Amino acid sequence: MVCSMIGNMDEIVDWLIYPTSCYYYFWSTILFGLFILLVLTLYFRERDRETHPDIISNMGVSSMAIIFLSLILTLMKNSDGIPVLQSDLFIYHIVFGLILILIWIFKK
Amino acid sequence: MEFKELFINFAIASIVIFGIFAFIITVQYENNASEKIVDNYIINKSYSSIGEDIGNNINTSESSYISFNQNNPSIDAGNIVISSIVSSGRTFGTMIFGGWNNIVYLGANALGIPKQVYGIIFIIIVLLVIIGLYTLIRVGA
Repeated sequence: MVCSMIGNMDEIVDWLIYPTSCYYYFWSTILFGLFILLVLTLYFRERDRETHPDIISNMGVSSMAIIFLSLILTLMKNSDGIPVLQSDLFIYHIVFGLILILIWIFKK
Repeated sequence: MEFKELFINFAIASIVIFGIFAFIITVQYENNASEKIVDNYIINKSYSSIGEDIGNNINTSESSYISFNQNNPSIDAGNIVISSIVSSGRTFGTMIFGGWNNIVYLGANALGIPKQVYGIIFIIIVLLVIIGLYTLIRVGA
């Protein structure tokens, strides 16, 4: 991986964008990890409270949260107008989330 | 899956998807996002004709409602139920197919799913709707 040189890192957004210069899917990977964390947290919390936890519904709810977090990342941009999360990656996040939401809705 | 359940699920899924997209587009527009999803080619490819589709669905449902109101109950046994329900059944079908189009295009285009694959799923949905409508007409409820 070749990263760009550090320069003009005046704002925090510049620091947030910097890892994507090395690895384009950096924030997607972070969000995926957060998604897994959310799903498992919800699942085990439900398991302690209820007798029948439903991991599909947990995934649907978590994917909504990830879509909204991705939306916030697309709004953050540096002085050059480069967003933290690129639009094409955001589309994939939406599609991934919508598939899980649809499975949740159409599940018996 | 029962027809009523299928219809309600499609309606809920359509509303959820529309809600999420409306929220995303509004937030990005009001906060001057540098890369809006409405400018993305996948979104444009998926939803270029969505306004036209929705307009056609509205016209179809309105015409179904008008024909439903204009149905005169005939004297023949069983004919009252069938002629009344076929018109409203068209509205159900329009709602389901419209929702299906809104749901499937983005995923298929973004993931590069070939038309043959979602064509097969579409055929299954069509058959489910036909069976559901047939049951609705036969049973009447």
